[in-house]
Amino acid sequence: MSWIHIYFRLAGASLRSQMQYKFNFILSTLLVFLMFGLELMTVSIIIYKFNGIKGWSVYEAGYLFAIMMFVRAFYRIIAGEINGFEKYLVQGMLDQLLLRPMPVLLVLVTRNFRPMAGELVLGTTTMSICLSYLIENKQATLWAIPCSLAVIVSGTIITLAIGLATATVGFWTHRIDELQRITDNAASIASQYPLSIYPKWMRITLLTVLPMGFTSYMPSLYVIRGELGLWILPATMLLAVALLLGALSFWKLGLRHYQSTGT
Amino acid sequence: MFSLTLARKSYARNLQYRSAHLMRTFASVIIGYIYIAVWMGVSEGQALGDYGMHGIISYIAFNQACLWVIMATNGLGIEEWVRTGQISHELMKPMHFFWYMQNREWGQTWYQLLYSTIPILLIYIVVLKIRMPEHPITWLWTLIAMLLAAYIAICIAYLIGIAAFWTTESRWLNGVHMGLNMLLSGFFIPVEWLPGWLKTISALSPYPSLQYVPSRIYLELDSFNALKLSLFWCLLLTICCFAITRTVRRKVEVQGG
Repeated sequence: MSWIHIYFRLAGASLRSQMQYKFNFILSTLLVFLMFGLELMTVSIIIYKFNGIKGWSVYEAGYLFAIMMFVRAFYRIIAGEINGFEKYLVQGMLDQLLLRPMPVLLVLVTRNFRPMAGELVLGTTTMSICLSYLIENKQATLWAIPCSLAVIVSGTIITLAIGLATATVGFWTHRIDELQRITDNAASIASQYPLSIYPKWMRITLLTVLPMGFTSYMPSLYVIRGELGLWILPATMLLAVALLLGALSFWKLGLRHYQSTGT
Repeated sequence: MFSLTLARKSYARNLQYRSAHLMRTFASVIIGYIYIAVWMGVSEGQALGDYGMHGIISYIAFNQACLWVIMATNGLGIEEWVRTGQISHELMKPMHFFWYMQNREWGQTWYQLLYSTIPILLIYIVVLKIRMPEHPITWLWTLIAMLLAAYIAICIAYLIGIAAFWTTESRWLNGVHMGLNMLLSGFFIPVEWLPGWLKTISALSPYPSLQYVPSRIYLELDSFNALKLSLFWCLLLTICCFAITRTVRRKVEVQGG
């Protein structure tokens, strides 16, 4: 059985176990939808009221926001537990996973699998509204659709790589929740807006040390504004793959340094 | 006395993780800075009413600092107790359950005020030169507004936690509460700039008392009279919390084992 097959089997089992509490499952799905809807509404009101943000129209800014919604949703779908990895280290829960006859990372990412339907529906709606407006106004063509899919894929891989690298730091430091606030929360929020609104030091950080600027902003410059050129899409994908391979190697190194908390 | 001990223990528990706290404070400063950058981006060349560019930066910065005081523990931790069955022991404590939970949380609130809100505010004052009250008495009104906001937040968190008696999981309700806070409390956008219908919803909710009222008082755009609204919500939510506790005592289902 291939690892991908096992991933789907385990993720399915996790989903079914959550659905045992049907009312709770349906309610939580609806509430997540509402939660992200409120966030989207808040940002939309501000950008709409002031008719864009630093040269980016409402629809262009909405496009960036939608990309990040997809990226965050797919990251959480593929590897939600990486984001809550601290409890595995602090409470010694990782010991159980080490006993399984399969890679630890595979078991970890299939636990508490969530389909993130709320974010995906909101992301699709926002993306459709923004892209159709941009296409109607000849600012983009239908080519933007496959390009957007590529941006979402590369963005998810970059976010996953950064999340995995941050979680790996926990093998040495044990406490990583607060570090994740910077590398995940703060960086994701920053990537929802055009990088041009930030001061130079922050733009450089988001393009080098913490390259979240490549999840949405850099490739979007080409997709919806016709800047930079097509090369940015394969370059971003290449960067994403390199980051993921680096993060996986780092994970393997970290795993070798794991020390259980004991009983 | 017992109430004070509960708050002190909760305060001491938080003191254990200093390096983690430093990192969290840093992240919070950065996130606040992102929100400020968004406002600087959208408001280029725009008139910003009572606030002006410097005023809106101060408004957002103050809200980000104040956020820690009103960010009560998710459901005050009740959800976890319901799931594990520990709730049966907690309800047997010789103290009213709401009073007990509230006192535990106050320790956390004081900790956040001293180690998050004040340092973040000082960083913004030094680095971004945000506005400070001109009249010393405003500091007192601001502190009272923040404490009333903290109490309202604790009441809301308690009601969210209590929902777990019916749903077993209430963390998503907390997420919605944070979303509503972002939209209706004036955290990210002053309430008067919300569209008409949202402004009405906001005015009918306790959310403006969480952030809008303290911020406007801090910026000396509103007088201490604005505290009447906060006091009204404190009273109403207290009644709700006592009433729901009566109901929930007859609803306990012990889970776990």
